[in-house]
Amino acid sequence: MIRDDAPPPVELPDVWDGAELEDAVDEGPLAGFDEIYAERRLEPPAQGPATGPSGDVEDQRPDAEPPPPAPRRIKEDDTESVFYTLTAHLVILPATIAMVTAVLFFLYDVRAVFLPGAEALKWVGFCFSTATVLIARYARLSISPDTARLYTFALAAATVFTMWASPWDSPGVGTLGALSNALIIFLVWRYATTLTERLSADLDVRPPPPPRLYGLERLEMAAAKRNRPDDRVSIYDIGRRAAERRDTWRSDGEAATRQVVFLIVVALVGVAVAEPVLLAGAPELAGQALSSLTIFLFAAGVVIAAAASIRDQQRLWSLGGSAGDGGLTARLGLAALIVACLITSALAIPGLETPEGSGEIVQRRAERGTPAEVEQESPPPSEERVEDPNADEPPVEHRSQDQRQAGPSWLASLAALGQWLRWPVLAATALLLLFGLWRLGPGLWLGLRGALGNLLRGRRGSEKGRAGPRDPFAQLEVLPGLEPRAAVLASYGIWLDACAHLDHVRDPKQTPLEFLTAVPRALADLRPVGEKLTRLYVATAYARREIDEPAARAARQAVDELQLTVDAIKRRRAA
Amino acid sequence: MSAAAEATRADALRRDVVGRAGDRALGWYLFFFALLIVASFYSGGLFLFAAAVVATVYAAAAMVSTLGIGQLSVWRQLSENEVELGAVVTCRIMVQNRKSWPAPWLFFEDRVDDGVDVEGPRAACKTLPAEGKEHLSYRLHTYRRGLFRVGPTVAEASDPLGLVRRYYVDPKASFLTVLPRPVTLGQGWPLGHQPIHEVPRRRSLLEDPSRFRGVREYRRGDSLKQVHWRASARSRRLQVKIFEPSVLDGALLVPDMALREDAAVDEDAGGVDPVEELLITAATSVGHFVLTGSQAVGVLSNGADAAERYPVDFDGETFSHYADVVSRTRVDSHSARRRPVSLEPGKGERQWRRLRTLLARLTPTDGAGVAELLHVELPHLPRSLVVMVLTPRLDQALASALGALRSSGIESAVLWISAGSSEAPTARLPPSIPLYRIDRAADLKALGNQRL
Repeated sequence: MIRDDAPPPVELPDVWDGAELEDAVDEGPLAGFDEIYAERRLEPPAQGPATGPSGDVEDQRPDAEPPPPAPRRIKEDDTESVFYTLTAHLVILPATIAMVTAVLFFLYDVRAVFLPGAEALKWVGFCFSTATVLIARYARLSISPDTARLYTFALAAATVFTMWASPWDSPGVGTLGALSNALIIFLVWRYATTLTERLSADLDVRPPPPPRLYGLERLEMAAAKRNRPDDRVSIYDIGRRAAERRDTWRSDGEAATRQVVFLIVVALVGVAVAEPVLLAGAPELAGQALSSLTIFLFAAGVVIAAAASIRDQQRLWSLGGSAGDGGLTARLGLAALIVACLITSALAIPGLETPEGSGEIVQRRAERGTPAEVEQESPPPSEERVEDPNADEPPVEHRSQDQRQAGPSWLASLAALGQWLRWPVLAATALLLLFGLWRLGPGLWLGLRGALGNLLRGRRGSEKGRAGPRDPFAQLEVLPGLEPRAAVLASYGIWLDACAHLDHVRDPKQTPLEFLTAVPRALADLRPVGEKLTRLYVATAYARREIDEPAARAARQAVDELQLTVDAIKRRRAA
Repeated sequence: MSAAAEATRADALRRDVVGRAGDRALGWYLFFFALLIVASFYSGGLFLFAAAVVATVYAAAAMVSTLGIGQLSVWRQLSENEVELGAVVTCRIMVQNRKSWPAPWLFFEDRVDDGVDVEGPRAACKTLPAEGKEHLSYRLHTYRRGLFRVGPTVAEASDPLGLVRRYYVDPKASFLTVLPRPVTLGQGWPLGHQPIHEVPRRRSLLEDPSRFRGVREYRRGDSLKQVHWRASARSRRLQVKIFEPSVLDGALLVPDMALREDAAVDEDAGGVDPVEELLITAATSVGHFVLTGSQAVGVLSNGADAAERYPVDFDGETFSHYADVVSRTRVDSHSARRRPVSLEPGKGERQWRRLRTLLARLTPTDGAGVAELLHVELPHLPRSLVVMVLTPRLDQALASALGALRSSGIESAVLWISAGSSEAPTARLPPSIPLYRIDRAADLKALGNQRL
């Protein structure tokens, strides 16, 4: 009856910097005990702890190594670092505004294929997107969401009205233009608020502050706090809530990053969809769209890198560690540099040169449009227009390559720089990939194969799951044809399936008898028949002798009884 | 439904959810890949430009993360593996990058079970150079008894953008046993006195053949084995040997660790059930009291060993998702095992250490009740020990089990851990079985002023 308890898992002998520790404490709890305590009389227990919370266990060990320096206690103020402040307010926010503005400009470039007056509207929209991001960001800090929505609604109304009135254009934009403006404003508002809120999940959910007291001291302080009625919240409550938040916070942060990446992918899909339209528009529109895309990609890279750095820093705080501002700043700077180099190089990759529009849509509309519409779409006949040096420029198809070079000048400079950068960047990327393939070759292949297999297995598994739980008695007719031993084992399998069918699933670590004793009270009717089947199974599975037919017959009878019992339980549940 | 079944169902549900999420992810991947192919045909440069940048960034990030996570080693050292409640333990870990290239932005953390306070950093984010090492040191403040896992270390490699992350869970974990603190009983007792009576029991079915008392004349029903042939020859009448009844030589502690539906966890006291902790403290104190008197103590309990809550045979793995890391390192809330926890009766310091370790690791289960346990184990219970049942519930089943013990000649006693409850026991114990009521730790001290 009496058995030794199993000692806890014992570590292998540790090494520390290559040398075996003199004070290694990896032995089991009873190792060497006999020699030490053979002659020693049992002493009464100490009144207090062997080492108090303020003591150091290293002090008790004269032959121990010098104690390590006491861990630094993190002050709560440490969580307000320069890096966090600068990155959260001066990096992520402008980068988010740049992303949203780039999306807005891209949409207006698409709009400009069909409607005029996009240039001035872009800057009105820029003001709107900036204000929207700021409202969405700081609404979480100081104002309620309803108030923030009210502000945004008022801002959107003012912006749409301004665009509709368009005081800078004498003819106005018309109803179609107003509708398109409203649609663009809605899309940009939705994109900006979603993006900013997802990012705020990274920025605002602060890690729990580390406790100021530990162990029994903390409990004693909590008990003392409980005795004071004016303190409603104990320190332990704070710590417990913080610990609960820590786990959810981390997964929330990862989910937020994934959602930000998803929003970026959505924007890129929008680019893919709108590109044919843009390329059929005026020649300069494609260049402008490319500049928007370039800004979007760079800003997106900065936002992702900054959010990741901040989240790593916050995780370190929550775990009592600290991250140097220098390292995180260098990481963020390196990320921005890598993205910039890649974008610059991509601008100069052969085949991906700056696109230009064909002007088909403009020409088509000009050919079939009424004179009034053509006049409306053409620039106003003002004096500036007459003095415009491009007024007598040739048609699109007659322009030279230099004339068709669209986009702002900085884009052209970037593309020129890319001519120098593309080969080093390409070589570095190729080297990294080749090095990775060389080092990870077989493992990478196995990993890919495993991942694919897992995905396919998961798909099959989920299809099984959708098919519902397996009927335990589906193949009952094969039992009589089995050998006695196989029949008993199969009968026990039916017992397990029947229990699983009734939501009592066997843990892999449970022995058959443990599983039997764990049958819940709600399934108490199953216990007699379960006991029969379990005893038959145990006697059969571990028997050295041959199993005879009476045992198989008993198992089959038990299965019949089991089926009746399961049906009765199901009927009772249904009732 | 049992806790094990619930955990299994939760695992199955989680696998199903993860599988479905994988399906959705696969669908999205296929959709975007197809979109990329289609868009590439029609793209005049804009989308290809964006796709080239994004694909290069992602591939480089994945490569940097994957290259950074391999060939890591972790060493951990605890200054003590077994400490008394309230002690402080220093933990040092060293993470080594055994690769011939650096591991950039390696974020590693040492996971520590709830139940101990961690002072100091147990995580760091560093770029480890080739063959580089990083040390961490922190303190563990214990405030409740139990078995706590320190580790495993979870390392996380990422790229400068933090776009792709890879996780590595080290296989090694350390365990810290926080021993319960006993209450000192029997203060001021004269030397030589022992907590358990070492006198013949008033009513015993068994006699100790080593304690010869004398002879008497044969009566009908006496066994022939008891006949003293030499005395019979001298007196010419049949004489039989008589012995002293067997004596009690210690206690078999039977802590009732069945899960209680009315268990109230005191979060202000560290998230423990005060009744359960008082029960363990009482068992430790009585055990120590008896061992101090050079008598034997054993344990038989329907609880579970806390070590069984931890996953076994883990060789270390690399994961792509943090949820998988959490799942892999998860600790079961309750053990699924139904094996009684027991400790052979013994004496001395060694037994005291074993007793405290066992009681420190004892956790409640939803298995058999203590009455059922006594019924099952009755044939194996040692008759030289007092069976001391420590239970918060006094019901009819337990009373009948104790009655059965009594009928079998086994002395027993009950320590009722009422923990301040004003409710009376729902069953009446047999009159010869002493009942000690324990409301708080001070009652334990009073318990030490009497023979048990």
